[in-house]
Amino acid sequence: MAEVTIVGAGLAGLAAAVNCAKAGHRVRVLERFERIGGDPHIRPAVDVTPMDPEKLGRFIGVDLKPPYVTPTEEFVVYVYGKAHVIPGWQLYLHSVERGPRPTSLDSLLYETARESGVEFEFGVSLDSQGDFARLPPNSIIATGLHVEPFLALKRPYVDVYGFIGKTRYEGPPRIMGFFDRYTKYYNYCANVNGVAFALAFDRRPASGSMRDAWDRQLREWEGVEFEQWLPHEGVVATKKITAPCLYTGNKILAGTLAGMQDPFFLFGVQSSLVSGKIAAIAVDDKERAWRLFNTFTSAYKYSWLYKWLFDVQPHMMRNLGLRLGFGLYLRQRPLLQPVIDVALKSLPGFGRY
Amino acid sequence: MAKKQVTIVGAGLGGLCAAITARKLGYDVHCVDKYNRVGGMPGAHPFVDSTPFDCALMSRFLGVPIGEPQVGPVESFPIYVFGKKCELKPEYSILHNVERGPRKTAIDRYLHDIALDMGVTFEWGNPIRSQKDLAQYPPNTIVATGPYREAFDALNIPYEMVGGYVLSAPYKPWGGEKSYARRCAVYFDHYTKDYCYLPTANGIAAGLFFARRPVGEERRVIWERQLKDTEGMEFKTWHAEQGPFASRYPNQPRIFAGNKILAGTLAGAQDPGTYFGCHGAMVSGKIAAIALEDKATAQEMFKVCNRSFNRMWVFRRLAINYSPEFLRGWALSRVIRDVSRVDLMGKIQGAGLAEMIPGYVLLKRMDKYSRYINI
Repeated sequence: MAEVTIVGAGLAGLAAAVNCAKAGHRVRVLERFERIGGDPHIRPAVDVTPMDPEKLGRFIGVDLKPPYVTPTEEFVVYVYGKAHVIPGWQLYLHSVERGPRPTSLDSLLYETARESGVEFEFGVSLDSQGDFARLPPNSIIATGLHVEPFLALKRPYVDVYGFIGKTRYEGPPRIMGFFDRYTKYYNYCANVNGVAFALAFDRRPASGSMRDAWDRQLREWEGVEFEQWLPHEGVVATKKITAPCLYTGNKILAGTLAGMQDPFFLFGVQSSLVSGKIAAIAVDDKERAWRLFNTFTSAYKYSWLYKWLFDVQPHMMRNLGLRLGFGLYLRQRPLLQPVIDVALKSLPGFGRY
Repeated sequence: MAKKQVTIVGAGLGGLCAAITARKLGYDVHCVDKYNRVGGMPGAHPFVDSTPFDCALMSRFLGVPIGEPQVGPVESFPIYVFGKKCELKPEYSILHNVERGPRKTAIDRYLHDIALDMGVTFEWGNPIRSQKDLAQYPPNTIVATGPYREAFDALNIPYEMVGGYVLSAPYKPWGGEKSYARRCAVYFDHYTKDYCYLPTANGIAAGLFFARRPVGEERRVIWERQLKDTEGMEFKTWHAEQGPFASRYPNQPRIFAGNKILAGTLAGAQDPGTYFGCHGAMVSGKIAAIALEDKATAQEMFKVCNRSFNRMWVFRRLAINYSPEFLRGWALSRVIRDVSRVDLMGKIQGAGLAEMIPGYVLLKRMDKYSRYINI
């Protein structure tokens, strides 16, 4: 029995804490903010991600059920103005609430961790080489989108700029994705548990004209209105094709910092949970964790290359490709479902645990 | 509503221009500097920089009158290429001498006084030593710490060390019977792959010996002797200095790093061929302050500002770093002699010089961004 320090009480950090506590360690979790659930000014948020909650729940040892993880009913994707409607279950989509409210996935994991006897220290932020050097070896670092740990641990990163909107909204869980001229990434708007959340992102600083254009689309096409848009910035580890990394120095990484994120859509929820579990395994058995990590991220490079190819296309080609892709998929689903299943393997860990 | 606040780290040209602009945009500006007074390195300053400049455009861009005595056109511009002297016609050159340092006639002091009048608060003697020191500042702090390693390391910005000797001394007008208030002599020779230069302004002569590898006493003495023979200048003391420059990679210039905003040398707003930095620092300082309000526009401006960086970088590697000595000498002497003789070549040289200086292209097109220029 050893004492394990975990930095960051996000999904990855909490999943690691639960599993470390189960393995019989004394666990101490340090968190930058004063309470659970991440940066208060962007919460509550809604993430939608393909996952298999039953299997994943068994893997990380937490029962993932509504309202924490709810199957998404409908996925509407607007490709340069043309809507395609896909039932959520076809892509295994699930909506997850993030933040401090009791219905969020963070709260579920936090309560589970507290029951297992994990200690929490809030308001502790580590942000320089010196701070990290003072942590004991085999500490788990899962600090998410904050840039300081990337700098201190010399991990390559990409800036992602955007803005968010949030409002009350009742209705069945849905997600709207927007591919359009205003961004090289995509924008999405999702709702669950009575909250709607919109996130626009781009790899360049987001301009006001993009926000206005999207705001108009949301009002006209979906009837969703956001009163206020807040700028939001973060970093992700998708800079290099070799981004996924479990160990750095004598520390163990998890979540966004470990590059456990699909480079194409930046889906991170289920990969964070998986990587939290792997980090917990790494405390006891480094080799097994390493093997698991490599298996789970083996498709990362293909996905990264595909993303790169997609990024360098002009908007016309992206439009054509996406319309063809979604159109074909909707018409020839039985034929194409196996292709989707293979493509989803690029999400770190999906369907492999 | 909370009052808008910004901290600026570094009170050099980049930092001061950022401070003035941020103040105009309605921010509460607090400026922090490493040394105990304005003007940078106490050992080497006062100093004179030579840089292509356009006072009228720059004044309009910054919204602050810039001109003599801080910045003035060069009146005489001799170049010594491997011992041979070519006198360039100064009217074709856009070269200006800029005094740096704490004196009244220096640009740093001038901008500092303006900033002080506008209500910028300064805190002296507070250096960045480690990542922790920088991390304590909130996101969107403007960092313009110039050629000091600590901020480069803290933000993981790649750099290459450039070293050499600097000196400055009071001078009596030199250059034989004709005397010039502003003169700039440049030396290309065997003793360095870069160059040495000797500019004067406001009664001060400054010498700078540039090299990418450590410079020993012997090599400096050769230049010293040449200085005495050709220009009749003698300096008593020399300071060995070295500093990092953001010219490691051709795509290096960046305005955002970590969650901070960069300006000046740290941002790579410096041409990687000859290390002209004053112009880029002033322009990028203003852009950094604009980024507080509108990151998208600031990044666009910064891109225009540094658009020739990669070309200059490749040119520099091919023409200077990797070409053998005899080829470099031959090419330099041919080009510079031709430029000095033919009028047309002189004009081309002026245009080329303008293109390679960070920010020059932006100043020509600033009407596009008039929303932020006329504040």
